[in-house]
Amino acid sequence: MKIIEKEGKSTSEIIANFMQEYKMDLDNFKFEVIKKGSPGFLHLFGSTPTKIRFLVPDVQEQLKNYTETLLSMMNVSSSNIDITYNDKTYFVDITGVDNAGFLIGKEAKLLDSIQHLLNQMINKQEKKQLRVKVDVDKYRERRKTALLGKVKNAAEKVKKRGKSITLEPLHAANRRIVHQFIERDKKVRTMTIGEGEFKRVVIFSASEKKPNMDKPEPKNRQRTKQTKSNKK
Amino acid sequence: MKELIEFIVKALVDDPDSINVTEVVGDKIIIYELRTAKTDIGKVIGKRGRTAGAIRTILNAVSARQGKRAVLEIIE
Repeated sequence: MKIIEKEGKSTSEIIANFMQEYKMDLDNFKFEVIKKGSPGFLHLFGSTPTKIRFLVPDVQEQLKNYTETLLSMMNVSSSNIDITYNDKTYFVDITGVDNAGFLIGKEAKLLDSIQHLLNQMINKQEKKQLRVKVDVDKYRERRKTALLGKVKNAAEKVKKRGKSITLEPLHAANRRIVHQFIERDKKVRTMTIGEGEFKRVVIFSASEKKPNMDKPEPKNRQRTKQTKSNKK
Repeated sequence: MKELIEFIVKALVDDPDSINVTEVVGDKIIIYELRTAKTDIGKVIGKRGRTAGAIRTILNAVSARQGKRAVLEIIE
């Protein structure tokens, strides 16, 4: 719970201002009047302000409540929802689901949808850009290690043969994982080709020039990371 | 199902009171018609229809498990 205290002329005025400022409904928060003010003599002398204390559930609690309700409305019984916060990102870990496969969906589509909705909800209220990541039974972690295994193999092949390798189309989040992983290796580099749903990552040897693909990507979209030391 | 749509959309919009979901029941398909305040339609649809797509994905998944088919229409 977050506690906010406000002062003002009358109870209703403070509450109305508060609701406008924080964009909330009456059922989203609790409040108590700490000090009842008095208008004073002719509204001029000796008037004391009214003080109200607002109890607002913080983002973490809202997120938990929302996820719980959403899951129960989807007829998914979950035993545990853990929420941790780190570096502007909320990690929502759902464990103990009776039907995890259903909740993840084909190619994690359902899980991504839930994640997207939670993101939208959180960023509607807060001005700062927050992120929500939803995971069920460590599914994303498992996918990440599987993906990195593939990428590692591909990178080794590129180093050996000097030929570039194009990976299968990946989602933005997965491509990001690949780019970040390859970035650490100075001998290979990455770039993205394709448009929309069909964006693919190309891994190529750093000693070579950027491979010329059939469909050149627009200039401002180039994702190739080039460092000066490699560019000889 | 109707409650599910209402619950999801309410968390997204600025004006939750003007949300209206109506059910049109057909032979095999149930159509859900969603109306919101004019200013909120963009929020429900999202960038490149991402939010609308997400709501539809959830709707399809839940109704498929009950052996039904559901369609969500967002009406201006």
